[in-house]
Amino acid sequence: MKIKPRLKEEIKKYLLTKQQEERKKATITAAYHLNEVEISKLKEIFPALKGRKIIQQIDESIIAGLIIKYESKVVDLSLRQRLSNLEHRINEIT
Amino acid sequence: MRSLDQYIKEIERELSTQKISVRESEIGTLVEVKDGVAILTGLQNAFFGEIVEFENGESGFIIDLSEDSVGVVVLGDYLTLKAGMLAKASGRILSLPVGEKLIGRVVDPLSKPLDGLPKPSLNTNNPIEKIAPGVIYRKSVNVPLQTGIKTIDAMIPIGRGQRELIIGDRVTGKTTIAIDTIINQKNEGVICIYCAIGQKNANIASVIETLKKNKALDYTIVVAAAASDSVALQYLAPYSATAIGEYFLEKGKDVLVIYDDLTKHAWAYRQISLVLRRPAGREAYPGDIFYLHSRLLERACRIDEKYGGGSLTALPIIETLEGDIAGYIPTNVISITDGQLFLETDLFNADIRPAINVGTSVSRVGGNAQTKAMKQVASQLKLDLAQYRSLAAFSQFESELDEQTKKLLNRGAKVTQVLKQKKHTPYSLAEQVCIIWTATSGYLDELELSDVENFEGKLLDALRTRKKDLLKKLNKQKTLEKTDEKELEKLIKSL
Repeated sequence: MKIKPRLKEEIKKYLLTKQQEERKKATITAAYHLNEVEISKLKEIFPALKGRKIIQQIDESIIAGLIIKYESKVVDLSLRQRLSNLEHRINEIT
Repeated sequence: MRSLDQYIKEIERELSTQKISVRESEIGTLVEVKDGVAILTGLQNAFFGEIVEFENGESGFIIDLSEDSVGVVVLGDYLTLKAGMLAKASGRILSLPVGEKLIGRVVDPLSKPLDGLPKPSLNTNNPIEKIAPGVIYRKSVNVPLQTGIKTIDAMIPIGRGQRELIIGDRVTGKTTIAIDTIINQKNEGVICIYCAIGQKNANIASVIETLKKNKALDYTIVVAAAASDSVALQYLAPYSATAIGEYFLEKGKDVLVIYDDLTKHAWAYRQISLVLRRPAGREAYPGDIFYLHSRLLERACRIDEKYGGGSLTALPIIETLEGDIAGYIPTNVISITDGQLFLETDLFNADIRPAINVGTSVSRVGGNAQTKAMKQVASQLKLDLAQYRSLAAFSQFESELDEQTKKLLNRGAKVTQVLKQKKHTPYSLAEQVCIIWTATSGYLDELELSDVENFEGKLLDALRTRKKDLLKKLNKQKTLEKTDEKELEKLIKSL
């Protein structure tokens, strides 16, 4: 069964717009739910967050701090990452 | 084992220099893993050759950039990677730590020690891929690199900063020539780097043993990517060895790098390219197989004094099958290098070792890289050998030839005998000049062929014991004067 070319184009366009939307989003992962005040403060510090749709994720395993993801970039400010860095560096020395 | 106090002090020191920086890093997700290559999505702003770190501690470097995905060659065990893993782009280009402490060590292409000794402390990081020095930085080659092998130093001389290819079938003595050259650099101030690509671990071990026995490891670095190592390490090994050499080159030193061998390097690159589904060309090699070797060998150069001086000499080794030097990879590398040494199985089996075919071997630097003394004796040597080769077919009819031909054949046979050399016994410049002068001046013509080896040994002993000053003088001044020739004549007549 062949798909009509017009249908193919519509699907492509839809997927492209979905992709664009994805790119405009930003995900903030924290250990608890952040309120409006905290999020607006974050937007001041990170200009890249301005104008993006924020999606919040709660992940207790990061212990403290937050992880901000947008497009293909990540800013990892979690305590879990700092502890694993420390572990690495101590391993390097010994 | 260091004491607990020392450990704690070092940890304190590390922690006090900690800085918290807010850095954004590129993230990618692993989609596929194939035979040493991982395909990731994401990583939209990563660059070619960037180091990528996986979640579980493995690392790799980027070798393929497509519209939606990135191809990463995994440096390490790719079997531990799972689909869905995250990978972070580190922002650093593929580089390795280099420094003085590498001398005497056996390391892998990422400077990790393989000889069981502790990690060397290295402060500088050199990029593995580097653009070769431009035309303005170079100087022409005119200082010889003494290999200690009579045939090479007399007729196919190698200079510092040259690239000379050693090409031949399996088991013809290619690695032996390379090792003998390293052994002969003992007091020459040349740093040697032996790069083993895809070799058997046993062979690498025996090479290291030989170097240790001849005390050559004091100025040599061994970079090893054995056949059991990952394809990525085999691909990087020659570039890493050159990067280590460039560290010393920038300090104005002379460096010798030996790539053993580039055929296996081409195979490793072919495997990576085929896994990345790049279009296969002749013999399934990718289209840029020439660039693979040309960018490596162009980094061998001689730098002008204005820019620091120093030189990097490259001796690549290629293994041919059934003497087929017209194959794809051999012709590529022959066209890149400044000359080649052909080793033939027939000569090897006829007990002419080193099995160098003097007729077809060439050095495009030639006489510029020879000392005056050697030039004086080598011209007659070349003539004798050329005449011998042209009459070689008639040597079967020994009894039916005229006097002149018989003389030429006799002289040729004696000279060929004199050029034979045992492995791992390098000759100094003075010794070579003396022995070749003896042969070309006709003092061996009356001896039986079987006595020539003996006579050579006796002459060498006599020179080393009774004529030490003559040897020293020749080694220093590098010219052969009439008085020296008379002294030699007296010595020969006394034996």
